[in-house]
Amino acid sequence: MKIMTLEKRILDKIKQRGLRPTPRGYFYVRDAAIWIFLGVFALALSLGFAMTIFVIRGIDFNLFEKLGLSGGEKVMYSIPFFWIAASVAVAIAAFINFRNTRRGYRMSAKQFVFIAVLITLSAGSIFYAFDIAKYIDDAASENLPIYNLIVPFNTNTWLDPSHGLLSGAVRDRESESDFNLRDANGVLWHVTGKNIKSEEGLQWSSGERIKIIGIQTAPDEFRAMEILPWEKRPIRE
Amino acid sequence: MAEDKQTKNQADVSLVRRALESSDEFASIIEKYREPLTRYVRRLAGPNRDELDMLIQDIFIKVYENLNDFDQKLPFSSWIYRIAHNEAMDFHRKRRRHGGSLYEPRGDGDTTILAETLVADGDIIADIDREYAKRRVIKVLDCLDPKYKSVLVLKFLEDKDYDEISDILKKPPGTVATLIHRAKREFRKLMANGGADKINL
Repeated sequence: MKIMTLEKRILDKIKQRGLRPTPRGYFYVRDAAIWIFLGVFALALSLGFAMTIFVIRGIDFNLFEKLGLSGGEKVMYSIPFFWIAASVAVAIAAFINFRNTRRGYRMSAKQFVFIAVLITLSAGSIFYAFDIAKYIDDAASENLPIYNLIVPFNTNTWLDPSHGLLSGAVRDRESESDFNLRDANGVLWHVTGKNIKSEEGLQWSSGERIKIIGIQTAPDEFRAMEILPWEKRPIRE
Repeated sequence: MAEDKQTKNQADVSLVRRALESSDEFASIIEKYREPLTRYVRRLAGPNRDELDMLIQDIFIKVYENLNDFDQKLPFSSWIYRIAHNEAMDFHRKRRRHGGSLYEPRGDGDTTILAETLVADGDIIADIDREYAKRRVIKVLDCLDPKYKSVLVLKFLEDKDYDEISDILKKPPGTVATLIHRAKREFRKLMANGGADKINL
């Protein structure tokens, strides 16, 4: 009996099963999908960083004092755990995904971290500078109930007039101590006050968004004691 | 040396192009790589004769089906070794799941060569009698974690450089260097502890 060579047996199998090389297009699509995912991860990571800056810069120690938080609680509420955890999870997914690119395995974890940090810091800073983080915070506060549970001291914290916290956009300004304010729920408040405390240089003209610490005096009236900028960050000229 | 590798790769690229045009031309690739791949898979996973035959057929069929995935900027040799490596490791895992031994220790020619190579490395076992050491080396190698065994086989038996091993294992070259270092250390530790005797292969 003639022994079949390995070559012959393999070629026979290929023909019997009607096998063909997988089309090149399949691999192009697969590689493209991996890179698209990587782009999405990079975007998510940059947004996560922008949100982290937003939360940290928005830390409001006046509010902490008003709420009588302890030192430990202040630290707890100052660290944006949600965004840091989300960013770490995305970074891990991005790393695994990157390793699946054609030559991703040649880059060490350290090199990957260096490049990821560079992209995240630059793109995240740009997103923050263009107020995208604020937009995400507003949108999430208004539309995602879970966000308000996970992220403490977000925009919704400042929609609690019965506890002396109010925020919104200034309307019909008569003077610094007499104006209307429309909150995120659409309620129009009449705000008054005497010797209102505020940061130096802070203006609250019509259309400006502000946060107020004070006392609710009627269903739609509020006496302001202190006015804060919408974000705790340098006021732009 | 680099030029030689480049010429070899160009020849491989040409074989791939021809195989893509006609499956019969794939025979040239099988002919060229059957021996090195058979040797590598046997060293790595230790299948018996029938298993080895099936494994090699599966490897070449997989190579054929994925020919369009071959990146011509990488050596074809590394690419085909990568497929063989993955298939051998799959086989090894499946066999372990089904209660098979980690490796069938044979001390065959290939393993003996590796044993001799490692024994000749004065850094590793300078003070041990060579013949006795050789027998133990074979046993110890069989006890090594597959990730260590594979780098030792690729480096010392297949004579692959760090970049090639990196391409085959899909690990950064720095990680490959670390793995080789650890594999040698693990090997030395097992040798010193008489681990292979205790394992009783």
